[in-house]
Amino acid sequence: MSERSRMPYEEQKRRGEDIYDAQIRHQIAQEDEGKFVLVDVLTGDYEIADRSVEARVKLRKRRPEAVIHTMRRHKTYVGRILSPRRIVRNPQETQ
Amino acid sequence: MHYGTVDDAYDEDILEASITLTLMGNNGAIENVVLVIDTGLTEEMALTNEIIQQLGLSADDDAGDIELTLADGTTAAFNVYVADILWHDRVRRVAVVDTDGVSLIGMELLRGSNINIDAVPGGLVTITELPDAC
Repeated sequence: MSERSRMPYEEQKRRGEDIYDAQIRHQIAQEDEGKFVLVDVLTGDYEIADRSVEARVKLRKRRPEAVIHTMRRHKTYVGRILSPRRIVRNPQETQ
Repeated sequence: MHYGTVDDAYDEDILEASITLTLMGNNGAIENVVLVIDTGLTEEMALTNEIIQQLGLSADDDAGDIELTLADGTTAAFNVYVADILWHDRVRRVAVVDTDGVSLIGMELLRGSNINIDAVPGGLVTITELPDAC
């Protein structure tokens, strides 16, 4: 079992935010505001990119075992999914 | 340009605009997948776990967790996968979140495109790449 599959999301988030505050925040340039910041919470290695997939692929290539936490600089949330199909998706349930 | 249709989902008079895209996973797996256009999704793409399995996108190969805000204001952690898709005649690498609902394309994929939807049953959907897309 990989390290990743053993780590609950809350633990990953706590580690990721701690690493960001201690090691990354002061290194990020003003023009990086709004960009995605992806951190390997096992090593502290990180990538910054406009598109999260770019940072993810680079970080995964360097750190195959990475547990990746995704953040956005100066944004209150990373993303949103509003599809009502998560709640009502089966016709039988609505009858 | 991508073409799609507006369907009467589940015969319940719920209109759903969708397109079919070609997705490429690990080990050469290729699937044509129907995806609902969801402007409420900030990510590039959401796929059902069934399709993620068909494409061979395993959690051990390339996964991380991302926290997304749901419609009711709560947050939930989603697994993230990486897949290649055909988008505007080019191969594009996209981040995919897993969903237990229907497969979706979101606004990050649509960035730089024009969407046209005839919102009637059987209506035409077109997605066109804008010039000087950013």
